[in-house]
Amino acid sequence: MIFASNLFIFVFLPIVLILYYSIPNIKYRNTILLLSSLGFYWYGEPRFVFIMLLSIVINYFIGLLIDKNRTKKKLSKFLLSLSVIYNLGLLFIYKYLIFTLSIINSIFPSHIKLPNIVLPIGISFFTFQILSYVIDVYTKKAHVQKNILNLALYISFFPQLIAGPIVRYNVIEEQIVKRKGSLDLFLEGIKRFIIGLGKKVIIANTMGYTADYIFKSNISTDGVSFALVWLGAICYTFQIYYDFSGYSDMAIGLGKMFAFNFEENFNYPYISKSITEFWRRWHISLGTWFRDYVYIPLGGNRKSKIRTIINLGVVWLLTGLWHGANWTFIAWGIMYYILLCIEKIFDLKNKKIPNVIRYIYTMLFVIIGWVIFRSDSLLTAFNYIKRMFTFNNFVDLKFYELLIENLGIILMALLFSFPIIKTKIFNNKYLNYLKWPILIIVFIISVSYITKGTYNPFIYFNF
Amino acid sequence: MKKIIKNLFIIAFVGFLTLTLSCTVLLSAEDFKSDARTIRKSEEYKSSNKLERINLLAKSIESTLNKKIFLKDNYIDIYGLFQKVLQKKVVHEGDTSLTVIKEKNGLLTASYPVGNITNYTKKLNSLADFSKENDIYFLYIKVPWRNTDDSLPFYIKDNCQDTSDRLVASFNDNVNVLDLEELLPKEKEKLFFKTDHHWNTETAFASYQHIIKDLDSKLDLNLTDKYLNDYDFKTYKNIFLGTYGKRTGKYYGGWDDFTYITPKFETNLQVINYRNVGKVEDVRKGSFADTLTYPEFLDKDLDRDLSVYYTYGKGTKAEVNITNLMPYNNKKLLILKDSYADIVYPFLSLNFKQTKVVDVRRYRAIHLFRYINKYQPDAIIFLQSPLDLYTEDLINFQEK
Repeated sequence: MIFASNLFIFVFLPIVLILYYSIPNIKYRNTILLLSSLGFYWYGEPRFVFIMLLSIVINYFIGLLIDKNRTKKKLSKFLLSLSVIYNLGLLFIYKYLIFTLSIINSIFPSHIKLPNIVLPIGISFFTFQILSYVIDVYTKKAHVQKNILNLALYISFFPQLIAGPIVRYNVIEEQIVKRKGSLDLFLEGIKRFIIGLGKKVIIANTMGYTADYIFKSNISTDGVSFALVWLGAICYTFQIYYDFSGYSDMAIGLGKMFAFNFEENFNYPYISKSITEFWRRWHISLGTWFRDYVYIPLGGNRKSKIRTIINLGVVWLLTGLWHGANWTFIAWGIMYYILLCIEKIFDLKNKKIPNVIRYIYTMLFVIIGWVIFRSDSLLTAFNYIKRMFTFNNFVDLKFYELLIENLGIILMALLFSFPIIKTKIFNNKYLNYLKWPILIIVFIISVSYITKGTYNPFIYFNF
Repeated sequence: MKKIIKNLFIIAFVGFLTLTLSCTVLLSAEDFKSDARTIRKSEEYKSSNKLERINLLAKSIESTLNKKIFLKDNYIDIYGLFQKVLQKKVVHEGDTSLTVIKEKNGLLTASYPVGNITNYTKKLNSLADFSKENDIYFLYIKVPWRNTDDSLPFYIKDNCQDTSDRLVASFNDNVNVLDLEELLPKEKEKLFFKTDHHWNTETAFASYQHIIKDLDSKLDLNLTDKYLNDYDFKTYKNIFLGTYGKRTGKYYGGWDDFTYITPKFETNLQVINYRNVGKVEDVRKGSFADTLTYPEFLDKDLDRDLSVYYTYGKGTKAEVNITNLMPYNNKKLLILKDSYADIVYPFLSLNFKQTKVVDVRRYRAIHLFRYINKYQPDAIIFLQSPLDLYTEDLINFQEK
């Protein structure tokens, strides 16, 4: 089930809200949230709900055993390793096995038959949440969860199940058993949900239509113009931001409706003036996860400069792979790794470079990065990028159509990439009152798009 | 004050979600049940396990919900209004075949690629040859197309006119062509509904006049001015939201007028409607208005699944068999057609003793030559919109 659907908005959400608030006891409330979360996942993936449940049960017992055997360091380390191997093994089988076998087949004269494996939606998100739990218990950053239902709720809670944000266990541990809702929090939740819905449905889907049209063209043979490839790249840049941050906003908003507070996942990444800053603002929950559970345990930047560079390499290779089993994601991760290393080695932060140049440099590589990310293969990405820097056949009719027809939404996408609405309207004492009618209009327009059955892609199948 | 606004907002939001859910379930309970029944009968359902079956039923609920959600038409109107505010001339849907384009003259339309006319040419030439051999007058009606390069946004290219022209140019000498484009006014906005893909009733009636004059000249029907011109025109203002209008809502393209045309003179007919092949839907006897028109569709608040266009013909039927009980000749007519003919054949039928109307799209793989041999018409007319050249359903007939 997806948030931007009539089924979710007009059936699932009101039923869960009514059931939840008709019961005062938090234990029963959690049970309702758990059952509805399992139903939410089962609706999209009936078979895979059992895989998720098995993971929860196994990691629940491993958590208990780690806690029980704290004094036996070797045993608890072994148990942690067991959990990591199990969880990453599961992720490997579902997400990376076909990719690995195809690499083997292409390197060696082997003809291993590629299995037909369907990737369970959200497996990367819930695997990382499970790992977060077991590692937090092991490192004593969190207490062991003795109630399996509470652990199951943490893993499967529907707002963040299929598209994040990746909620770390130590952040939410207390909230599961002790949280207090309020009208203000609920209202804030509605606001965030509507903002997210509008971002996804009105902006991201419109940008996605244009981007998909252009990316599905054969850049080498279809006579796609210079202007059109740039438009495609820019529209995809907006699509992925508004889709992903829209989903995060909806997840955060839904969390608040049920009195949970998730951490922010995006912070206006397209205003960044360096790649380092971009990654502090983009998919924050993934960045902090890798920082806390990979980069720092590897030694972070506390050891030699070379070791820091190696550690960063590991993190960025994994970051790329996390997004999907394809060379494009690896190349995308490596590109960022190289740029971050350059920024670190040459200390670009403290160099006297005009902000405009910094901004252009950052966005240029971010856009190129998204082209690699969106392409089906490295060759397609190469051809696309090559076309972006080949100055012939400057413009075609399709460019005019897609630009003129989508100009309003493109300008909105550009405007809302900057914190202007937040600072000028939502934080203004008088203009603040405008937000309620604006939110109502955004909600109604979003529902009209959904009801109309407009283009509504789900872009997290790879994750 | 601030707290009151906040509370009101929460109540309004949750109340609205709940109200929508309740009203959808209450108002469309039958649709939910019927769709669920259809799923239960499907092969996929029968071959699934219990859990998968529940999932399939849940998916059927979602599908019905999307079709029948409370205030659906209002949402589509709002969607269209927003597209208008955004100054959009091309309105896309998830399904790109449903894209709607707004022309400079206000007509809503669609664009088409270069069409392949090979099979059309072959089939229609063969039908014309067969007609000639059997001494039947075969007439192809070239219907005008709504788009011109000047009226479309400059970045939209449409090839439907070209496809239609190429088809006519490819016919052999046995195909007689009545080119309505030459005979009707050039201003497209006068010929077509703004919000629908069909021509308007006035154009359909004018086309009837041109067609019957042509048939009279070839078949000696003894056509009189009464049958040609003695008709009553009643225009219903802002009543019709056509196919394109329903996709974009009433604020995007506005409403259409619909003119209800009936003969002023006395008529007496028997009409047998076949919804599908061999299945009689109804038998109607009486005047033109009672047998060939359905004025109950002249209603602005009509369910948007229906259409004011159904005033003539009540939607597509496989076959209509019209016997004129007050004929002024003994001639018989066969009309092979799409929905463009729905406002033409009722008027034509007044000029023949018997008229059979076949929509090959519903009468798939009809043994047409056998059918013609049995019926022995004096004339066959083939009337279709150029946009139907992009499917081959209308020529899906057997030649033997």
